[in-house]
Amino acid sequence: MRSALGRSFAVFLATWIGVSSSGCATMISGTRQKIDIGAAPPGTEVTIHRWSGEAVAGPVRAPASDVKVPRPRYRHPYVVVASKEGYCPQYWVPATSHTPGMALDVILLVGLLGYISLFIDGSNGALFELDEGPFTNVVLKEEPCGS
Amino acid sequence: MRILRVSAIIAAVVLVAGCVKPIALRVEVLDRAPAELRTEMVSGSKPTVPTECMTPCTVEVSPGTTQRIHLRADGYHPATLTIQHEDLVRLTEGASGEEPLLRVPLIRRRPVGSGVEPTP
Repeated sequence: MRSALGRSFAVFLATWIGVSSSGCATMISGTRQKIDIGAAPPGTEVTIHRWSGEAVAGPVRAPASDVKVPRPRYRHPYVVVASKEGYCPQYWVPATSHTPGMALDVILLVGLLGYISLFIDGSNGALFELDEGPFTNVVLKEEPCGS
Repeated sequence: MRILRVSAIIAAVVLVAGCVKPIALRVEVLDRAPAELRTEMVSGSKPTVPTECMTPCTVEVSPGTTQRIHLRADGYHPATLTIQHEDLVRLTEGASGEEPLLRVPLIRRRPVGSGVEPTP
């Protein structure tokens, strides 16, 4: 009886360590997010950049669904550009929010492993997700473009 | 116990100080083209400093403000982008003390006369 209890505890402990050290949100949400892109006119190209200029996704031709985008590490903002020849490009910084995995990380924040989990999830972006709203309704104006 | 309390107070002060001061943002065009930058305050009480410059240049964004950045460069479509001070705070998290940077990917204009000619 005692050895069965000990074994169960060992399994629980190993699972807890495994989950904590690999990041709760990473396991639940993953480090990529699928978004749908809808834009007018059709054929508009959408590219997602880090503020350093590095493209993290795209260019993707709209309409497109389930486009995989890396979740923003440390909740660093992105800048998105939608463009098409003959139309004025549109730029925006998508809002971000926390993924459900954040709650689990907070629950796990009872020890060092909780902090490790939170650090891992924060650094790979698994804690955060982009607001998909602006991606689904991009409307470009025809040239000439104002300032 | 006292060490913990002092550490917590210092951490809180550092955090608050980091959140309430203006943050300098370096702005440039992705392919290094010089561009006229102009900012417009959308919300908050303080415009950026300066409000106009030629890129690459640095503007200070005050806490609690939202700013619209306009960029114009020869041969490119103009760009307008709205940013918040909060974006800059996030940008500095996990970074090793470098000045926050925004490289705007301006879109090149199609050269005049290079369009597809209609077939007769």
